[in-house]
Amino acid sequence: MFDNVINFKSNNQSRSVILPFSLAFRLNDYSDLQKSMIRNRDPNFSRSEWAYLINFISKSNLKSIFVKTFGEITDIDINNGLYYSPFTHISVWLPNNVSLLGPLTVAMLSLIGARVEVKVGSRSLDLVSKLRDFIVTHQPESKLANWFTQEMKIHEVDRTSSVNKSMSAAADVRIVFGSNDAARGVDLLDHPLHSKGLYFSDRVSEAWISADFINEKSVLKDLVSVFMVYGQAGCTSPKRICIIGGDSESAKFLQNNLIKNWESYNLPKVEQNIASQNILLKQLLDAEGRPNCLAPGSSAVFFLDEVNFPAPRSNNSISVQAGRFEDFIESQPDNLQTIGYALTPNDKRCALPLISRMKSVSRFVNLANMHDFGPVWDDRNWFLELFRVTDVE
Amino acid sequence: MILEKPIYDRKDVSFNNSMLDLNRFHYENNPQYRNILSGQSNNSEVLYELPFLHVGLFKSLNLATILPDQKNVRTMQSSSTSGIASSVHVDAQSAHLQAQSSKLILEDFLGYEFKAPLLICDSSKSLRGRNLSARIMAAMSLKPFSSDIVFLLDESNDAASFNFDRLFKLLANYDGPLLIYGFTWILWQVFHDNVIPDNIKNLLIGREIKFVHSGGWKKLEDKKIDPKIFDEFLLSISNTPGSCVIDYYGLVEQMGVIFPKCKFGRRHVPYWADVLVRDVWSMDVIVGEPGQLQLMNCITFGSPNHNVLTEDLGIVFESQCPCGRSGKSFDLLGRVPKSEVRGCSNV
Repeated sequence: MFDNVINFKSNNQSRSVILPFSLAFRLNDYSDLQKSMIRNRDPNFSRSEWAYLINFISKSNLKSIFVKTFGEITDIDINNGLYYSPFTHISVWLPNNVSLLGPLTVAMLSLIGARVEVKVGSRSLDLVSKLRDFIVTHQPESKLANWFTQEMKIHEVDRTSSVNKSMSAAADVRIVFGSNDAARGVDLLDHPLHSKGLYFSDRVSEAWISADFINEKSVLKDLVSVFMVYGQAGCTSPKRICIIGGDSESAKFLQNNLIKNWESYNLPKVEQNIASQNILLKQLLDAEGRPNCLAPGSSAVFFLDEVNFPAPRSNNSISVQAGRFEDFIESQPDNLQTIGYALTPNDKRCALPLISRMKSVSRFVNLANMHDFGPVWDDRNWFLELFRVTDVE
Repeated sequence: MILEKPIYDRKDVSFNNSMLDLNRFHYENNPQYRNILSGQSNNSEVLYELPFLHVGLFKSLNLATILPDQKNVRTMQSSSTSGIASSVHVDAQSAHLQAQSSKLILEDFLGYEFKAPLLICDSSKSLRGRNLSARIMAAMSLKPFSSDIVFLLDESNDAASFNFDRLFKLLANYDGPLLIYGFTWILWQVFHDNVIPDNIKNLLIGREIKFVHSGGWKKLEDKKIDPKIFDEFLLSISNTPGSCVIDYYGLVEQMGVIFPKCKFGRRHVPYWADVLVRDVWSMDVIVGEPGQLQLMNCITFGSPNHNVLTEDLGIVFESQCPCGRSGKSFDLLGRVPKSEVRGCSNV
């Protein structure tokens, strides 16, 4: 058996993955990286981003990417079935905002060893190069560092650059994270006939909380933690809080409870312009006569709203709504991606059959896991699509 | 209310009481203001506990305080770098007080007896219409010091529309000092980016010129023009003792209360106004350290913009200024920096 062949079994189907290197060694490199990251935080990453990245690159999580995609790893030698080998050239377009998506995506791509070209935002901090620099500094002799420096290329260009064309022309797989316009723009570039486009564009998310949980400390902590990572600027951040089976009194109660326990969430200070924006929004809402609360440190604004899917008022503000499942499903947009839930067992039982009525939901996950990125995203097993398949008898 | 000299002798109790009265006035006559204040204390006797409004509100809301017998209410609009202008309403009483205020403050810098032709880096078209821009109002605040008014541009915002003939006509028939006003970036564009004909240059050299500008440095940052370069260039136009460059800070939300920079780099606060620095996280008032400027004055009756939290950074000085002006002083440190958006969506 070769070190770089991994066998999987799932539902009586056998699959073998053939990588250009030993996955075990790659995972060991990440294990060593994790230790370095725990000892040293790169200041370009926020604390929550760094903590998330440390967890993401754990051996167990990286291994689980393969398990979720191919099935359980088996020691049994497999001589027939489906053989998966990775495509050799992948081009990735990242959004202009500062986003952890870049580091997470390249970490996953490093597990298959493809040559990768990454277009980063031309106007914002590039976390992919910061991750690369960290690896080169702390693990200079590792094969992982070699992949990040020799096989991964970063382009800091804007959308009009001819580099976009060459990235598209060379790629077996084009991956776009960004707006609908960005995805359409890449899709229109010349590309090889049999290449694939994986487009992760404008999506939004929301949080569902059972009315019974509006006083539950752990739920409130999860809700605030998940929201305050990126405010309204994350596709997996809740754009509204939906209290299932509640009314305006429960919405008010939840809002006040979030504020009451704010110090216990141990959140970092927000940027000054965000704090100032929040003060402004609070006053605008007061002028509208809309009940609202400004969190300590001017960190966020929570405000009561009728059931609707709102446009963001500011980055760190979120509406609190109360109603029935049907009300929230009816008001969902077409591009809903994630519902993060904290539901009683009964509410969850009622919710599951309703998922079929939801326009576009691709993730129905625990509230705390809303931001968890993985091999299945926006309705597709995108990690699987990075491999070519050979049917072997 | 009468505003009079000496303008920097603070009368804290009197100012506090005026602010309380003004708060009460707007609260009783402005329902939206009442709503905004509903969650805040409106009865405190302590100045820094009085409720303020964020300047951003004036971009989104029409916050006029309307009285049945109010006369001659005009709407003033800011010149905004963000693209959305602020609007405030100025009634007759406020207009009178604001004109008095700016006159007294400018007099302190220009001199009581100073009078000269006022050359404005704008077009006369800016005077048309009921809603006047803050820029033209700033220029008109210099009217008490003008013997004549000449608009240098044919089109507002277009420095290249500099009408040289108009200026030459004035200079050829007049020997005395000049008063020149423009928004900071327009003043630079008019006199630096245009090729000034020699016949005009020769008539400017040796003449006392007082340049007055406001509007901030944002648009000149990209060109790496700082106050030192700016002043040196303008002064080289006349190359004459007595010429000066006066940079003042003002907002449409604090019409009439302007803060010119003294020769020691400080901005002084007249007794009918006050300046605090706020920490927007804790909402504490801070002294001696940078924070967001909160500006107050007791001469604003048309809209509740008498007490505003700006998005300008500044610092209040604890020591007396060597220039000799008494009372409080502060300086500007720039705008609140905009943080990079983190996350994968557009907000």
